[in-house]
Amino acid sequence: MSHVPDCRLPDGGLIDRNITLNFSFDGIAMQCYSGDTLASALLANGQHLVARSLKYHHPRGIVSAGLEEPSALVTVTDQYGSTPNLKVTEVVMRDGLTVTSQNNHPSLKRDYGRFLKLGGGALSAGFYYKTFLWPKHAWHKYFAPIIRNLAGQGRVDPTPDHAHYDKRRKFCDVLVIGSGPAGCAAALTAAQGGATTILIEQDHILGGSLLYSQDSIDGLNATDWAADTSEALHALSNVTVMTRTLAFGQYDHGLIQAIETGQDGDINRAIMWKIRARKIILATGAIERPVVFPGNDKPGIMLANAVCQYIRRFAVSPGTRAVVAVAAEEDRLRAIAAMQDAGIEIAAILSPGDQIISATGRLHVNAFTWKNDKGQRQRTKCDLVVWLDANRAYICPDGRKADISC
Amino acid sequence: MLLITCPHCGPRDESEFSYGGARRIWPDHDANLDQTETAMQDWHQTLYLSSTPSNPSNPSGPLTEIWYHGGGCECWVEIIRNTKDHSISNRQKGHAS
Amino acid sequence: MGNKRWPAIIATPEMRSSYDTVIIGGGGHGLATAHYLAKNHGITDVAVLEGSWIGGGNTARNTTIVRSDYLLNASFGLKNFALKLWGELSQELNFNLMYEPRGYVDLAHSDGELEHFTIRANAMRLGGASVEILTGQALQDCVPELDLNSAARFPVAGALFQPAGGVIRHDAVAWGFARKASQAGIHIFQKTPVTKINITKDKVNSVDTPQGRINCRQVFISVAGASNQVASLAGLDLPIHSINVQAFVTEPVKPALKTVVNYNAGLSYISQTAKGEFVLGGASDGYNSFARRGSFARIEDVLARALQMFPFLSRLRLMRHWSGTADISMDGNAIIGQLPIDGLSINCGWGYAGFKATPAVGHQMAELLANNATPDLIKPFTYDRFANGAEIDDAGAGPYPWHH
Repeated sequence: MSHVPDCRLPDGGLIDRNITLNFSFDGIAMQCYSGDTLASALLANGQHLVARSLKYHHPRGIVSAGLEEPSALVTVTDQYGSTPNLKVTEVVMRDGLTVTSQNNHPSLKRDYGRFLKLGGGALSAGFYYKTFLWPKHAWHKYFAPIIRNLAGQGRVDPTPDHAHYDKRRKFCDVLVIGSGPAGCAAALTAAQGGATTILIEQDHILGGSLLYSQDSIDGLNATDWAADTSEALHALSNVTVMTRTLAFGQYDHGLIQAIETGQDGDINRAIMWKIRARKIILATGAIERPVVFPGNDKPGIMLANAVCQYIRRFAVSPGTRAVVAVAAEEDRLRAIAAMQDAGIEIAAILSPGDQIISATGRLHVNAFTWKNDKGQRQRTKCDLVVWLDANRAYICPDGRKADISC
Repeated sequence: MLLITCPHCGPRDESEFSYGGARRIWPDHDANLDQTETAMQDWHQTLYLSSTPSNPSNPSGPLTEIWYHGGGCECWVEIIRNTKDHSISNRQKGHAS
Repeated sequence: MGNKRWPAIIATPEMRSSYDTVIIGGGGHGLATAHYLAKNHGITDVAVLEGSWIGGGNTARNTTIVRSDYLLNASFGLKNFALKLWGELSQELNFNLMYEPRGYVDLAHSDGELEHFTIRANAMRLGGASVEILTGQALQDCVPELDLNSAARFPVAGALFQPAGGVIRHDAVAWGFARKASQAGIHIFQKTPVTKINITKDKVNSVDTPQGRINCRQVFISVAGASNQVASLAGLDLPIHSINVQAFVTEPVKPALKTVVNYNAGLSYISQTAKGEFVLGGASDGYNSFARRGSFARIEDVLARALQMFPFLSRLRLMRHWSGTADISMDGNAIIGQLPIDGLSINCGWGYAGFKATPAVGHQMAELLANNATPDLIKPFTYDRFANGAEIDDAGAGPYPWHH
C-alpha cells in the first residue's frame, strides 16, 4: 500500500495486527486491522476528506469517534447491497467492504457542487420560501426537481434487501445502558446483588471511555480493568451482555427499544429488541460540545477525546502538527499527552479567553488564526485542530455573532 | 407502548388489548321502547358526549376507560389512565364480556 | 443580496383592549381564516391568540399531503375547493408554499376494494375532479418504484390516482398565512393562551388572557387537539376525542420516489420530501392522549406496511419521529360553524386530515364570520348533527373516534 500514507502508529491500540482486512474507498484499495472502525481505518490510510456537506458541498472530515459524528457519512456496500448515510465512526470493519463518498460530482476532491457557494446570500436560511415563486408553475416544473436532485445525501439502493431482520423481547430487573466505568460497575453490583441484569453497549467491546484512558482502577490500568470486568460479567449467569446494541428510545412505562447489529456469520443483519426493565440505569457518558468558528468544518478539525481515542484505542495518528483549542484543563492535558505519545508536534495551545478567528485550508485545515488575551493576532500552520469547549470559554468571532454556512 | 395491568393476567403489553374508550354510564332507558325527548337527549349525551359532567370523555388528565384483553383472558378491563403522561394510577376491575 | 433584509415574519403589536373578532388558535386554520377575513372581507380588527407559537402545532407535525379523494359530497367538496386554493396561494401570499402536485396514489388490495375506489372516483368526477383508476402496467408506469410482483401479504389490485394531489411545505403554510395577515394589520399574539371565555345572556362578550381581557363581538375557536378544553371554557361539551398521531422521517437520500402513495390494508402513507427524507405516517395511536408520546408499536406497523410497497426502504433508518394531538370526532369528520352561544363559532374534529383543508376552512369561516351566515360548503358540518342523526361518516366506523 505504498500510494496511501500510513498513519498507523508502530504499536499499541486495541486492534489485532494479525488480522488484516481489505476495503476500498472511492475505488482506492486500503487495508486496516480487525478492531478498527471505518473512521480509524480511513484515518490510518491518511484519508481525512470523506464527505461533502449537504447544501454548499463543503469538504468534510471526521470530527468525532462516536455516534455524535455530524459530518463523515458514506455509502457502504457489502453482500446485502449498498447502505447510504452511514457514519464512519459507527461502522465496525469487516473484510471486503466497498466504501464510497456521497453527494459530490464528479469526485470528492473536485466537486462542482462547491460552486453553489458562489450564489452566496441568495441561499440564506429559508431562502426557498422567498424565491422561485414566479412564474406560477415554475416551482413544481423546474425548480423543485433541481433542488431535489441537489438535496439528499447518499443514494438508496432500489433493489429489495434480502437480509434477515428479527424482533425480540427481553425482561429484566436492572437494565444498564452504557458500559463505561459507571455502567460496568453498576451492572456488576446489580448482578452480584442477585438482580437479573442486562448491560447494553453500542460498541462491539465493553469499556466505553476506558478503552482509551490512561487512568487506573483498583490498581489496574483502565483497559485491563475493562477486560477483567467484561470477563466477570460474562461469567455471571444472571447477566446478559449485549454489545453492538444501540438503545435508541424509552417509550411508555419503561419500554426500552434497542437495535442489535449482526456481525459476519449471524443469521440476522439486525435485531430490534424491546426490553422491559424494573429499573433503568443510564450510564451513557457525554458527548463533547465544540465551539463554533469559521472554517470549523474542515477536515483535520477534531474533538479532543476523539483524538485521544484514535491514538490510544486505534493506534492511529490523526495529524503531524496540532493546534489545541480545548478549554477544560483535564481534557486538554489528556489530548496533549496522547499527541505527544504519538509524536504529534504541538504548534500552539490556546488559553481560555482567546478569540478564535478562523481555520483555513481548501480540502484540509492548513492554518489556524486567533487573537490572544493581549489582543495580538496569531497564526500558525497546522494539519490538526483539537477542539472542545463545553463551557464556551473561547470567544467566537465578532463577540457572539458568527455567520456559519453549511 | 403501554403496560396495562390486567386483574387476571398481570402486567401485559398494550398490543394484547383493544381500546374500548371512556367508560360510559348508560342511561336507564329501554333503547327500543323509550322514544321520549329526554331519553333521546340522554342517549345522545352518553353516546357522543361525556357520560356525566364529572366523568368527561376526553379529559386532559385522569380518564376512566376500558380495554378488551383479547390476547389474554378475553375480559374487559377498567383502568384509570392519565392522558397527559399515560401513567396508570390504579387498576379497577375486570369484568367478563 | 436580495434576501438579507427580510423583516420578522409577523409584527409584535401592543394588545388592544377590544377587537371585533378574536380567533383562538394560531394554527393553519386560524391563520388562514385571519388572512381571508382581511383579503376577502376587508376585516382587520382581528386578534389571533396562540397559546404556544406559530408553526409549532399540527401544522408543523403533519405529513404535508394534500388531496381530495373523498366519497361523500360534503367531505369532497371542501377538500377539493382547498386543492384549488392551494394552487394559487404561493403567489397570493408571496411566500413559496412549495406546492408540488406530484400525484396521489391510493392503493386497493382486493377487487372489492377497487370496486369501492371506483365508486369514489366516479363521485369525485361528478364533483369536477380529475381522477383515474389504474391497474397493472398503468399503475407500474405511474409509480415505477412500487413493488407489484412480490408475494406481499396484501397484493395490490389497483389504485385510485389523483394527479392534483401532492405535497406542500407544511410550516410555510403557517408562516405564509401569518405574515400576510400581519401585513394586513391583523394582530397575532403568541404565548397567549385564553383562560376564560366570558358569556352574558348566551352571548360572548370577551376573553381573558394572562395579558389581560379582550372585549369582542365574536370568538372563533380553532384549536385542534385542545378543542374540548377550550370549548369547556364556554361550558360546552364536544363529541371529540383527542388522540395521538405520529409521523416520522428517514435520513435524506437522492430522489427515489416521485408520487405520494397510500397503503390501505392497515394504513401507511409515504412521500419523499424535497430535502430527500421519506416521510411516513399511519393511523392514530388508537387511544385518548394529550401526552404527545408516541407508541413504537404504531411505527413498526406503518413501516411493515411501507416495506410491502417499497422493499428498498429497509436499507434506510428513521432519523426522527414525533407526534401531535389530533381531535377526532364521533363520525371522523370536522365540526365547523356556529355554536349555540351567540357570537361563538368553532372549527374542530379534523383528526389527522385537517392540513389539506386549511385554505378552504379559512375561506369559508371568514365568510361565516363576516356575514354571520353559514356558507354552503360547510353547512353539513354542524355541531348538532350527532343529536339529529346526520353524521358524515366516510369510513362507516360509527361513534368510535379511534377507528376513524
